[in-house]
Amino acid sequence: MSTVRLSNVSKSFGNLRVVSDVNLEISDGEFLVLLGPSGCGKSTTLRMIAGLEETSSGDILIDEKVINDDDPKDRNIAMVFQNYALYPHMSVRKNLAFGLKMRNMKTSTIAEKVNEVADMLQLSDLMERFPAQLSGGQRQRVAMGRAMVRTPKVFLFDEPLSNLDAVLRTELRSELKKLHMQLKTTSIYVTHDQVEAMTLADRIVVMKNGKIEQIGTPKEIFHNPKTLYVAKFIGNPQMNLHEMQVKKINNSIFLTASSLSIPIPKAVINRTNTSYLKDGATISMGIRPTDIFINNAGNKKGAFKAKMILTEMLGAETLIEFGIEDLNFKAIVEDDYGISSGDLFEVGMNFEKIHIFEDTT
Amino acid sequence: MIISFPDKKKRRIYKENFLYIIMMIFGFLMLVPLIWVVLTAFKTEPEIAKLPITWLPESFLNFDNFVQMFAEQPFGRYFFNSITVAVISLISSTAIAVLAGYAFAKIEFKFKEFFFLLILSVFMIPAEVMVLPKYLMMAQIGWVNSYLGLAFPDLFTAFGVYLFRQFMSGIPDTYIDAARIDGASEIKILWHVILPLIKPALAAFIIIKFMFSWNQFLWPLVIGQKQDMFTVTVGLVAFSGQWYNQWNLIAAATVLSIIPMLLIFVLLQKHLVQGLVMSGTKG
Amino acid sequence: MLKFLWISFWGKSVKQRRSRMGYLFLLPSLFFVTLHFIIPTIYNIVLSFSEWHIIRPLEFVGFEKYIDVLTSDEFWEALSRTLYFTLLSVPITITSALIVALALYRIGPRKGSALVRAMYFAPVVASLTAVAYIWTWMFNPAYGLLNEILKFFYLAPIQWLNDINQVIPSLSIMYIWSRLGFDMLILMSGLTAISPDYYEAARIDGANRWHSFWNITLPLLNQQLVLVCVVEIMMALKVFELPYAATNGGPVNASRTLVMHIYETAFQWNRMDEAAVASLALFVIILIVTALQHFFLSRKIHY
Ligand SMILES: Nc1ncnc2c1ncn2[C@@H]1O[C@H](COP(=O)(O)OP(=O)(O)OP(=O)(O)O)[C@@H](O)[C@H]1O
Ligand SMILES: [Mg+2]
Repeated sequence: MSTVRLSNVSKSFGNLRVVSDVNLEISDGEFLVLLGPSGCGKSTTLRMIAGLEETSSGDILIDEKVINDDDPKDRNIAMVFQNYALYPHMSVRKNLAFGLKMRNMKTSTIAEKVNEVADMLQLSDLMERFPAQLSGGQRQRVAMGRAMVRTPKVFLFDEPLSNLDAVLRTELRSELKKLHMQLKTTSIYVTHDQVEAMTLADRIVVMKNGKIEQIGTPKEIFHNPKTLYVAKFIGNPQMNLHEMQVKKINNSIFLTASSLSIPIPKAVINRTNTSYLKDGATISMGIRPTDIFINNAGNKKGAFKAKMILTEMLGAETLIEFGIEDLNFKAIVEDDYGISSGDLFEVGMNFEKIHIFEDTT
Repeated sequence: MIISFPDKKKRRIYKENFLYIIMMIFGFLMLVPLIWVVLTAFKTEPEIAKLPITWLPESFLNFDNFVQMFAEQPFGRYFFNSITVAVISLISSTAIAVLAGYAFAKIEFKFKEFFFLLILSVFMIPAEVMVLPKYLMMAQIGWVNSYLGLAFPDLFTAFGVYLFRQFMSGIPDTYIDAARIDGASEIKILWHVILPLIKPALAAFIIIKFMFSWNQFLWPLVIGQKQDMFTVTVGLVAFSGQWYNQWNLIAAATVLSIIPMLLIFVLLQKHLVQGLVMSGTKG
Repeated sequence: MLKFLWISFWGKSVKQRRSRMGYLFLLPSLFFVTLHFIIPTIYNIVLSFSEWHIIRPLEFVGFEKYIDVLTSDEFWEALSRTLYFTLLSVPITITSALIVALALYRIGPRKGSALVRAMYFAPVVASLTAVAYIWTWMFNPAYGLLNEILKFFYLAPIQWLNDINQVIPSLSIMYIWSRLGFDMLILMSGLTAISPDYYEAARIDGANRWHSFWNITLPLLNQQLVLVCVVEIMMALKVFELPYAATNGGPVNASRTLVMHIYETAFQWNRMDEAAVASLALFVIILIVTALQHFFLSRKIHY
């Protein structure tokens, strides 16, 4: 059981700075997810922790011991690769045993451990097969087994589910979650899939261009994105975002765009950096589609006139797209009340859930 | 979109079958000298001097030529020498070339391109050019008439470095990453992960190298001066010089000298083709 | 202390350690490059400027040996014979290997095709000394198979190896026979690696077979063709076993090649110094030929 700490870690390939000044602390038993779009340096960060890649500067510590110059084999970590990297010329059994064999463990101990892991992952029937004779899901499980069998201090995962089809991915995702709850090994997991991140993570690290954008629990990241980038990246469909002006009237603050004017409640002001809220400043206003509703209760206060553009039936819910003045919004509603495109109707917003970002789109 | 008409396709198949037959005929013609020498090896002295020529020997069980050959000269010793030299040079050159090939393919270090070019340029210089100074070097350290002396120029082959580098470059880096995390040192990665994956290249190299070493002539002629250090090729020439015009005997010795190579080729030829094809794909 | 030395040798960081490992793996190769190539070359050059005696040390004589060798008829005759042999053998070997490779490729994998391929490759297995004896017997004017065949077609018998003018072409026949299979295999490996997509695309563009050959096959086969050319020219320039075993340079020196000249000068006449000059000449010729090939052939690669 272990902690991992990254302190001012940077990485450049030649002149290309891929990771810059990453500070990160992963506590014992935590499941941390690195989330970000392709090319943002997630894999590189992970590979530096693994020792496959050198840091250009900064320190990596496992259990508060600097391990920058340790070989991967001396770090006691295990890694699951995106393409699994199972040794094609070894049977499943040999693949699982390889790491133990390299550590000169006794043959009988190896067999015992391998069988134990095989049972846990339901691989016992596949032990003599070669990787080429396995399905994608089975290969993935062998790759997991290879990591688990050594009982390492830290698990590293580099998009381990991205090569699987959607159904299998969901299935293995929950399997992974159960395994983690059972083993409680400190884990760092790289993905660009926000659903994976949300479901698996104790905490999510959102990365952008090699920098950490925000760290927080899935709830924090979702409900309180710190930057426009995070707000855009998390949530599907995306948060509605519009450029608006800040207007101070008496002691109240409004966000305006053309003739639309939205009052900002105290709760929002309290959690927003006051420097954003200067009179006349241009900011980005965001509200999630789930925080908008169709107002047919006749409650005129805080309702806007809207014109329906499109309704899309998603199953239990309906995605609607509509315009208020010349701003377009999307919302997820339980019932569209039969409103069809072109119709006028009224919408309400949960103003408490409004987000304000300094930078504009 | 290609539209192929049935009779056009038929014509193509006819053409290909015709070509196949032609190639078989020419292929057989390629074999005629080999067949001829094998037949001669079973003939008696009067038989080979018969006119007009007879194709088949009177008896295929006439092993007199082979028996006489071993009685006249220590061919057993020649075979032993050739095999010893081939094995020594095979082990040494494979080990050295695998190490260098791995370094070139998978390890980052300074001046890599320079070193690779250096080794590649040696590949381009035939050993024959250097026979003289190498012989004098051997004479100075007293390796003339020794197995190490015989094997000396073959202990390293630049071609192997090139072949293995080509092959190993095609192995995905993640296998190596995985092995590193699994706790393998570079040597163990090479042994447990890389070597099993380059078996076709190894087989191709073994055939080519063995063939090269077995069939060498100038160097063993120069360095193995005593009869008990003759290799098969040198022995064959010595024997033929002794039995000039006894073509039945020379044919027997010739046939025997080819057999070990032929065995290796038959055993490994599938790998040779596969190995060459794969290194071609990756080039 | 020991640990410090160890670390300072291996370097501190993972990357440094790994790159040291690279050098370490390269070390045996570099050792042999030095031993097989660098030292002998220097030694050879030194030798070429010296008078060589069996027991006494080398004595510097400047260009004396160069003058001796370059003014001797034997050297120039051996050289021109070797070039003649090379010019005769190499183009035919490579062209026929290419034809065989294309034909076998066209036929494709089918029942027995591996066997047919093996037929062409089989002669490669024999050493050149064995090849020399196989063919000397084939060429035998009285009892040889070839003259027998000529007789069958009512043609006059040929003296083959016994004729001053025919001996080099006869050696070429041996050489072509023994090398064809190897070149074919290399070329086939190149053909197999060419993706069929190119041909499909060319056919859609309306190219005929001849166009495809010139515009697709040859350019994409360039790497293998260069390899085969380099290897064959080198092999032919250093031909030794064939004349040594088949004719011993005869008749009247008509098949004495350059390497044979070097061998006899050095090991039969004990004139190491002159042999060193001749070796250098061969070395320079090979360098020039290789450089020329690179210049002409590799330009086509970058299309
Ligand atoms: N060995 C390398 N040499 C040079 N550049 C590299 C190297 N490895 C990665 N990069 C660059 O570093 C950047 C980050 O790469 P990285 O693999 O960490 O991205 P990622 O976030 O994992 O993306 P993905 O989701 O596509 O896997 C990319 O721009 C990539 O091109
Ligand atoms: Mg990645």
